[in-house]
Amino acid sequence: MVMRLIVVAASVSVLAGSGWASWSGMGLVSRDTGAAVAATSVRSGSAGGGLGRFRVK
Amino acid sequence: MTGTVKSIDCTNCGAGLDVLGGGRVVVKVCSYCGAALDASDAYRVIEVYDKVKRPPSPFSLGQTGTIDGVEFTIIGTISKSERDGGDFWNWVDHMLYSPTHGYGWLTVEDGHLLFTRKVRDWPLGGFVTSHRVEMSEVPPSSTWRGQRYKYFATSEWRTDFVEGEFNWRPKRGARGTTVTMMPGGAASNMLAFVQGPEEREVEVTRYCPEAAEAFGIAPPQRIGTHPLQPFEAMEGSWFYKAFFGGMAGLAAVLALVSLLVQPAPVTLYDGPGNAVPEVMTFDVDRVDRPVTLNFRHAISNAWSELGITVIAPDGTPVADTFRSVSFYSGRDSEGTWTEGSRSTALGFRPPQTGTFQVQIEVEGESRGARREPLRVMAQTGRTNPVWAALAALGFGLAFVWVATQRFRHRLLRWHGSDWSED
Amino acid sequence: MSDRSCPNCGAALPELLAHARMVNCEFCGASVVLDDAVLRQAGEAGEMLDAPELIGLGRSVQLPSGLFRASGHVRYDYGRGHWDEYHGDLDGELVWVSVDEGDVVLQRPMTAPANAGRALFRIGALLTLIDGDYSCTEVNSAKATAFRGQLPEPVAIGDTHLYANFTGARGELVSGEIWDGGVAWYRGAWIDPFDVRAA
Repeated sequence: MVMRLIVVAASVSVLAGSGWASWSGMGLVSRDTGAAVAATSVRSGSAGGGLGRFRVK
Repeated sequence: MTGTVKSIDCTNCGAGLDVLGGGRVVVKVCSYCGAALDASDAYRVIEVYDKVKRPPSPFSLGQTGTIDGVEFTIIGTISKSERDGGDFWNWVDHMLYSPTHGYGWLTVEDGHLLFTRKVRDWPLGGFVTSHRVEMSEVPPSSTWRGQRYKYFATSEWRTDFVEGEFNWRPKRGARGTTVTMMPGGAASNMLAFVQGPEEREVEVTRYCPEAAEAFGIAPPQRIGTHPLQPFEAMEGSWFYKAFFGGMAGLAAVLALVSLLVQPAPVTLYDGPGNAVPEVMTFDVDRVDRPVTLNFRHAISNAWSELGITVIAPDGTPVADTFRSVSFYSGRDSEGTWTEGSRSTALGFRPPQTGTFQVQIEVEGESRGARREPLRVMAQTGRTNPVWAALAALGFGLAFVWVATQRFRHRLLRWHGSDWSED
Repeated sequence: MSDRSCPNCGAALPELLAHARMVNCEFCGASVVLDDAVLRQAGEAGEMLDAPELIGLGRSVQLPSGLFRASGHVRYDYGRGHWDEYHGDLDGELVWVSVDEGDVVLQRPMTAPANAGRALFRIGALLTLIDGDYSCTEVNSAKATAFRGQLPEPVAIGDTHLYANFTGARGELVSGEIWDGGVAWYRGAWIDPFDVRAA
C-alpha cells in the first residue's frame, strides 16, 4: 500500500512537471538571446558570441 | 521386512545404523566411517570412502514428510557437481522411500526444492542422449504423456558425496550425463534422461516448495530463478498496469495537445539569400511562451553565416548573434554521405507583446553560397511537447515492464538452457 | 457363501469365481485346491504380515487402463523384502498386477520365447523378441510365502521361484519365471504408482 502511494505520488509529480515543461516551452530558448546578452554582444568583426562556428577573419 | 525400521551395526566401524529403506535397497553407506555396505550380502564392506564433509542441506536422514499424499522417508544423501569452463554448480539429492510408492528424490539446488521420480513409460522418441543433442540442428524435443518437451540443457555431473541407502550402487567420483527437457510454455515438470555409469533412466521432476513444510524444515533461501519455478505476479500488478497505462495515455494526450495548441509558423521570407529585406516583422501576443525563428539556407557543399538581430517592440535588442549553416555531400565506396545541416534555429523569451523586428544578414559564406534560397520562419507561443512525450514514454515503459512480467519470468526460467546453434 | 466347505475344517468357503483353482480358508488357514471340481487341501496359505499396500484384496482401484478389483493376492519374499502380486478383473479381463515397492506392473501372459531357458536368467542376457531386443536387468529368486483370496492356478506356498526382468530399448518390460514344475512369461505394462487411485 505504501509502495503504491509512493509510486502514484512520484508519477503524478512527473506528469505534472513534464506537462508544465511542455506547456511553457521549456528548452527552446537559446543561450545567446535575452536583453542582457544582446546588450553585451560584440558581433561584427571579432570572435565570440553565438552558437556558430568560431569565426576567424 | 518392508515397512519396519530395523537397525544394523556397521560391519566396518560397528556404529549402530537405522535401516530406513525397503527391500530394494542394495547399498548402505555408513554415516560415520563412510563404508559402503552391500545390503544384499550381509552388509559386507564394498569400499570405504574417506571422510568428506557432508554437504549442507536443510534435510537429514530419517526425516519423513508427505508429498502428493504419500509419506516418504529420507534414506540417503548424494551431492553432485558440475564444472563447465569457469562455471561451477552443485546440488544435493536426497533418496526418498515409501513402502507403497517406492523410491524418489528430493533435490536441493540453490535453495530450490524439487521432487523427482523414475518413470518407465519413456517418450515415443526413446532415450535422448547427449550425442543426439549435439548432432541435432534444432533443439531436440520429446513428447511424453501428451505434452511436448523442448531441450533444456545437458549436464555432465560428478558424484561428490554419498551417505545412506540407495536402490542402486552410487560411487563417489562416478560421472554421468543428464539431458533435461521442459515444456516451452507453462511448465509443471521437466524430463531428465539420466545416463549413469551403468544404466539409463528417465525421470520426471517437479518444483516442490511444499517439501519444506512437509518435512518440517525452514524454507531455504532461494538463489536465482529455477527453470521450474512458477510465475508469481508482483503484488498489485493489476493496479500498476492500469495506473501506468492511464498515465502513459494522459501524458501522450498532454504531448499531443501541447503540440496542436501552438499557432502555425509564419514565413517571414523565402527567396534568394542576397535579397533579404532589411527588416522583417512578426507579432507576439503572449509572453509566457518562447518564440522560435527557423532558418533554412539551401546551400550545397558550402557554408554560410547568418547574422541575426531581434528587436523587441520597445526597441531593446533581444538577440544580437549569428548562426552557422554548413552542408556537404558526396559519394564514396559505401554510398552517398552528407555532413551538416541546412537548417538552424534561434529561440527567445519575448519580454513584451507587440511587433518584433528581425534583421538577417549573410555575413560569411563560401563560394557564392549567399545567393542560394533562404527561408525565414517565425513561430510564436511555442510549447515543447518533448517533455510530455518523454513522460509518456517513461510511463509506457513502466507499463510494459509490469505487463511483461510473465514473459520475463519465462526468459529467466530458460536462461539456464545451454542450446547453441553450433 | 457357496455350498462348498473347507476340506480341512468344514467351514463354509466363499463363492468361488469361475477361474478360481486355489482358495484359502480364512478360518483354519488351509490352502484349498480345486481339482476337477473336487476340493482338496494342499498345505497352508501362509502368514501374510501386515504391510502398507497400494492395492488390496476386495477393494477396487482405478488404473489408467481401467478399474481393477483384486480377488487373489500372493506375497513373494526375497529375503530383504517382499513384493505382492494381485490377480483380478480389469474391465472384464483377468490380469496379474505386480506391486514391488512402488513399481506397479500390469502383467499379461505371453507365450514363452523360443529357446527361453535358464541361460537367459542372468544379468545382461539378451532376449530377442518380435518387437525388439530386451536386456536382462534383474534376476532374483523369491519364495511364495502366503496367499489370500482366489487364484487362477495353484501356487505352492514355500516353493522358491526364479525370476528375471527384462527391459527393452524404450523401457518396455518382460518378465520370466521358472519354478519346480513350470515356466511363465509375461509382458509388463508399467503403471505409475501415482496413477493408482482409490475407486
